This record gives sequence, C-alpha cells and structure tokens, in this order.
Amino acid sequence: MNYMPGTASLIQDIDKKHLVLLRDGRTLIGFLRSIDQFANLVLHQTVERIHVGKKYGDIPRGIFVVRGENVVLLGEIDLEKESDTLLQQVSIEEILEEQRVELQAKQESEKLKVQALKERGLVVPRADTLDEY
Amino acid sequence: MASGMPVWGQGRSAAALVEAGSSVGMAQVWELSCGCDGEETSGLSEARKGSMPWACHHPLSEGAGGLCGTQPRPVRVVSQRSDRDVLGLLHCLQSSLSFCSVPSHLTQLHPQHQRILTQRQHVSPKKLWSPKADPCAGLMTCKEKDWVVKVEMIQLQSENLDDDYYYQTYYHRLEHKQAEEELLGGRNKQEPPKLVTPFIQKVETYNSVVRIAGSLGQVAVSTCYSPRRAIDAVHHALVEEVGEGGHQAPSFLPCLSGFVPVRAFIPREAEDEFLQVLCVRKGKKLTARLLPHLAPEQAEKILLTITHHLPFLMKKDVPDEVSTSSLGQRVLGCFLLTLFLEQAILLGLSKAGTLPESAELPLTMALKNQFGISLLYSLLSRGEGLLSSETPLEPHIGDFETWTDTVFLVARELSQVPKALLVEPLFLPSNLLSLFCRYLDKQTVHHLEAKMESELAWI
Repeated sequence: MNYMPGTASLIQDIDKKHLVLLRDGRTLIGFLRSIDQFANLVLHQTVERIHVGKKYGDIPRGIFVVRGENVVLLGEIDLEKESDTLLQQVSIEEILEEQRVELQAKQESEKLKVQALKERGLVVPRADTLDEY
Repeated sequence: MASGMPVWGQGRSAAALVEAGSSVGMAQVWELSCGCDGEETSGLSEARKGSMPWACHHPLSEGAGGLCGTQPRPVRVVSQRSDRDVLGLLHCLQSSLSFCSVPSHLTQLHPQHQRILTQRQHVSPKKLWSPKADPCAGLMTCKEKDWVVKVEMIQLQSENLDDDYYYQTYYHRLEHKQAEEELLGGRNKQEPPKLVTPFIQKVETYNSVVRIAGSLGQVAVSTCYSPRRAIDAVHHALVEEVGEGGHQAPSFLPCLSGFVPVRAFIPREAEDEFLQVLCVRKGKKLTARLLPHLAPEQAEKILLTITHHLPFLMKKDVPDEVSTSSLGQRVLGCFLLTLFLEQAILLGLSKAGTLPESAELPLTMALKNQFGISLLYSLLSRGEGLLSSETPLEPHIGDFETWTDTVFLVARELSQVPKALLVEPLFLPSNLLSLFCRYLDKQTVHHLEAKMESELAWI
C-alpha cells in the first residue's frame, strides 16, 4: 500500500507465488502468506530449487519462516510464464549429484588457484580459514 | 476536464505511466477517487473488498481544496511496479468503489491505455483473485496487514522533512519531470502534488513516572504496564535490619538480641517476624550463616523456634527445599556441635511430641520433608547419644516418658509411611538403630532398618 511515494511494501505480494533468494545462496519458491515489518516471510508450499547449469531440481520443503535479514531479494512469479523456461527439470537425486560434482570441481579449481598464487608469493586469506576469530 | 474530476493527465503522461510503470524510477502520481464521506482518516480505512486497505487523506493543494465538501476525496496511489500490478490495483479499486462516479474518468484515458486496461481486466481476475483455488489464502488478516502498514508508516515519519533525503529527492525528480512535460506539452503549470502523510500517532506513549530510588536506569515499559508479583512480603523493617547485619555476624548479634530477649520465650511479634524471614530463601541462608556464630543460648532459641514451627516452615518450604537443606545442614551442624543441654533437647522433643496432638500430619509431613526428617533423626540421635553416654542428667519428672512416647510415635509413623514417600535425610545418624533397639522389639527394628536402609542406598 503506497500512501507515500517512494515506499515499497510486501503487503500486495501476499498469497502470491514468489521466488526468494537467500543470503546463503538458496533459492526458495513458495506462496507468501505473511510478513512483518522486518520483512520476515512465511512461505507456504515451499520448494527449494537447486540450479546446476541448465538443470534444476525441486525439493519440497513445506512451510518456511525466513528471517528478513537473510533475504537477498524476492520477486513474484508469474504463474502463466512459469513454465516457459529453457531449464530442464530433473529428479532430486540427480540434481544433488550434479551439485556435488559442481562443488567438487569448484573446490579443486580453487585449490589450484590458491596453490598457484602461493607459489608466486601471494597469499589470499579466505574467510573460512581465518584463525584469528 | 470537469473541475471535480481527478487528474489523469493527458494521454501522453498516462501512456508514459504505463510504459514507465515497470521501471524502478519514480512514476507519475495518479489521483484516484475514493469516497471517504468527509472523514479525514489518519489511519487506514477498512478494506472494502479483498485485502487492500486504502488510506484516504486530503491533498492540501489548492486545486483540490474545492473538492472537500462536495466530491469524493482523492487518494494518491503511486505505482513503481509492473504494469500488471498497477492495473491490478486499478481493478481492485474499481471493484471496491462502486459508490463513486469513477468509471467516467476512465473514458478520459489515452485509448492505448484503456485498451490495455480492458484487456488485462479479462485476464487478471482469474489469476489474481481466485480464492477458491487457494485454500490457505487470507492467512494474514486485514487487521494484521493494517498493523504492518502502520508500523511501516510510523517508520517513514520524520519531524524534519528537510533532512529527509528520500523525500527531497523524490520531490525534486517529480518537479523536474513535470517541468519537462510542461515545456513539451505546453499545459498549464501543474502544481506538484503536495505530500500529505497519514499522521499515525503513536498511541502508547509511556511517560516514565516510575523511578525506583537508587536504581540504575528505569523500569522497563512492559513491567510498568504489567507489574510482576514481588516476593511474598516480608516485613520491611526486619528485612532491612537483617540485610544490613547479614554480612558480619558480630554486628548482627545486637540486632538479634534485640528481638531475642533473655528469657527462653521469644515474644510473639518477633517470632512472627523471624518466621517470615525464614520463609524467604535469603532469610534461610542468612540464618544458616549466622547460627554458628551465635552464643549457645541464642542459637538454642532459634532452633527451638524452628522446631516449634516446623510444620508451618515445611509447608512454606515446598517450593524452595533447596535452600532449606542448606539451612538444615547448618542447623544440624549446630545440633551436634553445641553442647546441647538436655533440657533443651527435651523441650524440643516435647514440642515435637505436641506436634501429633495438633494433627497426625505434622510428623508424617516431617518424614516427607528433607529438613524435617533430618531434624527428627538428629534429635533422636542426640537424645540417644546423651542417654547412652555416662553423663549425669537431671531429668524432670515425666521427661523420660515423653522421650519414650516420642520414640514410639516416630517409630510408628516411620513404619506406616510408605517407603516411596520417605525422603532421604541430609545424613543418617548411626545410633538410631540402637535407639530403636532399646525400646522396640526386634521385628519392628528390622522393619525400620529396612525402611531406613532404602534411604541409605541413595546416599
């Protein structure tokens, strides 16, 4: 409801299907049922969609309550256009396998990169390997 | 264009709206009618249909001033979203404002705009508003939505609009846009619609009145509106006395001697106060800490009071057995350490002896209460210790009888009370069995031994 120009509210988005991208990289798709002033969301019939390349897989998750600060963005899904996609849906097992493979490949390439940099004397500290904190 | 009609603008601007609607930038301001029947609602009007609350407020621009009494009031709706959303809003508004002379303004739309509208109208209702298909729709009630919007509105209020960057930027842009259109369109200068924020007053303004002397900071608002129950009232004067003297035992003595007179009997009032102290956890701890430091006489009096009022204390003790056990340890320690005169014991025992007279319960209660049972056992043990020792005693007439009666009574109760209910004492004196042996037959002694041993198993 826009009483003041320049404002945005999720009130109009209620009961509509949304795609929510979280800070940890997960993609959730569900019906937005409830919100609050922090943009905490209640998603209904939620599905976690994993994308790998041109394939995707859906994991049904039920009801999600998402804390507002963890949301990167969200947008309404046009139900008509939902099926016009070039992506191919696969089974959950397959997509998880693909994801694992992708992750592994990424890790290996990262390792090589770090190795190469180290050889050249450049050490890039990674957030997850920091000892100080 | 009729004077009373809200401004839809020329075709260009309307079309521009449709095109620009999907951009994130500031869109044209529309003015739509909304009938509010003369009310200047500061909050939100009830949703007429569907789930969209609409606010109605007066625009303060002079152009609209004439509208006030006669025409339905304009409402500002700004859309920065997709066309569909905008048109969806329109549709909703249309359906909800059946009493307004709204439809006519549509005819003044740019034909392209109108075409799109009518097209979309056919499509959108099916998709957007089909509550039958969606059983869980409407989880968030109107009231809740209004509340969220209210919170958001409050967040938008600012006392000083000059400092509000967003406000200023928005209006600069708006003015520029209108100036451009002016130049291009050659219209009369349109006044940039002045912003009127719905003034939502914060209802619960808490004027802090409650200040506790010597506290750091204020009492929490929630506590002020719903105060918590304080601890069971203890006489204030005594609490303060006790509080002050608590840290150093010697300083407490004059205080204590103040209400424990030389005579064996403590005056009723002081006794009551002392009992009240004992009801509180801190009181128990305090007494426990104090006992070892008192002179034997004074300690005696305190112990006598405790024994005398044992049932009362045990009842009060139910929620707080933990602290009583600490008191118990001290008390029992005192029992053993201080050279207990036999008069004191027998006095105590006679008090214990009178317990059953008042009701059979107190003794049984004692057995179920850790403090009670420990006290009982230590009393008996001490008595046994004294009797079995060679020290010459000066018994009063009838004392031995009272003693034996008490022992029998305890033995009987002990055998009757089911094992499950017997609580383990803080410690089990070793001479209890010999005491029982002295007075009771072997069978009963074995029975009692079995009972007490089950407690021992837990130690």
